[in-house]
Amino acid sequence: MSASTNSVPNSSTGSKKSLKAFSDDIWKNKTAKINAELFTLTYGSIVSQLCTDYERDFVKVNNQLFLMGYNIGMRLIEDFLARTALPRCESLAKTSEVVSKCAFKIFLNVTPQVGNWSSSQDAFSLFLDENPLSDFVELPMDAAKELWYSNILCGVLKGALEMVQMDCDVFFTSDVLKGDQTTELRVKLNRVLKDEIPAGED
Amino acid sequence: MAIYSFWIFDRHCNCIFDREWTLKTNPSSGTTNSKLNEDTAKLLYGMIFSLRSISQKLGSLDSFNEIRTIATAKYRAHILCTASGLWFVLLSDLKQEDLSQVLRYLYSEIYVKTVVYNWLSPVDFAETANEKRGQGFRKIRNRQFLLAVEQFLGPMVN
Amino acid sequence: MPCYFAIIGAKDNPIYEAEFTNPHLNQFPPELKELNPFILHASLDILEDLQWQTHPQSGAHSGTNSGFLRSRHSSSNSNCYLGKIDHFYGLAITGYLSYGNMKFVMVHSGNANNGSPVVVDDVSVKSFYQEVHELYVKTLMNPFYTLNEPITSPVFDGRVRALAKKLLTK
Repeated sequence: MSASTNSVPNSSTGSKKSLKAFSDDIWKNKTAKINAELFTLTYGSIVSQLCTDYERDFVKVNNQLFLMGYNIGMRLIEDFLARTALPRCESLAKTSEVVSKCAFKIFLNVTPQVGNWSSSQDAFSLFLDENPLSDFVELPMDAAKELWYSNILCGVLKGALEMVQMDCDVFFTSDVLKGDQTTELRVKLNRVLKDEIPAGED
Repeated sequence: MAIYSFWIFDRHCNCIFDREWTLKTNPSSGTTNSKLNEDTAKLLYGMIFSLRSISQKLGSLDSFNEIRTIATAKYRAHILCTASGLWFVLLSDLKQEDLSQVLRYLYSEIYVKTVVYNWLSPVDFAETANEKRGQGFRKIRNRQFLLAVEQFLGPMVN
Repeated sequence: MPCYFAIIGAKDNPIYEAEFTNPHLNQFPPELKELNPFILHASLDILEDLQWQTHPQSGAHSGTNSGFLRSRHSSSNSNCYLGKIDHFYGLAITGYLSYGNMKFVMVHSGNANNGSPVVVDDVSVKSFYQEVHELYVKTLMNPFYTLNEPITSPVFDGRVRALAKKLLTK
């Protein structure tokens, strides 16, 4: 017997409008704020220190940022659920909406555009018009090719989605810091994981 | 108001926290019978697991049918299941009709702040694959957490 | 009028330099062009003297009469502009000092090569400095830039040159 909780829609956040107002309220009233520059500088110093520590091997820096993000995501999801009390999403479309309108709003006060759905509806993109992590940043020449400056975000999403049983690949496909037109973050759902059941129950 | 016990189960079906107030200590050994608590945890898990599966199957497709309380002749179990697979369970007397706010507080103000935000504490209590699926034995040991639970629930015990 | 602008670090090391010219106007004479960095560095001593005076003798006429030191108590950066600090054979040298001790200095040349003294338009020069200062602070916020290192960013360079075009060599 398995408890399939992946197909439970929620009535309290049914319409788009209410999800937005709901997130606005959490951002305004339940979220502690810090100075934006302090936040940007803190993240910037981490990235630049990693670049130094890994002797400008940017592939390693990307991986490390991803890993840091993954660990954050695993924890952040609990904070997110505690604040929002949202149930699991019944579809990836709903997930994309919650991620952009709710999660990004609450933690970064931005609302990325969702788009670029794959034909099989198992992958979507988040277009970050604003990215609070990369204000003031200019990539040095040697980093412009390989470094995904905000790669921590991929890790956070990966970790958080995995905790609600969604096994996803999350990666950047373009970044304005590299001279691209948009900053596009791709989320691809591999499979929905099954909830564990006690040994001997199956 | 009377609360009998408080339990937390993680996504690996393990009991990661239990606190029973009504259980008497064995006078000869002077310690709580932990083996008994372990069995109780398994039984409690099984009961919620089964009833939860049934309630979800009984719910229609467009409404969210999560189990909240289970009442027996002697006590009432109040349950909070998070999307991340954590279960918070409070056993109380039958007079307590709704402790969902209490459970939510335990989750968002105590568990999140003292366990999740404590970076030196694990958030996944199963360290190896052998400790998953109800085979785990690790518990939350954070002092802040234990203290906060005691302070918050202590006054409600009797 | 052509200008030669430089940012000098706390250890008197050059951080950034640029020459602003306008094809329709005069250029620096070639023999002088080479001398610009020397002229500019020669005025650094004067700038450092002015830094510790409460009433700089040579200073801009507007806003700076309270001196750089006193300005610690005000939140505006209007006192950072020190005005014309030096001159050299008809060239004027102006200076601006950030609170982080970065020295912004510029050699102004006249339109005519007749050796007549250059008149510095304090209002536009001051706003040029202030806006460059702003750009400098933004550069400082870039995690990949290290304090006191030369600024190599083409974006910074482009913005400074655009400012110069707007305010100085029009």
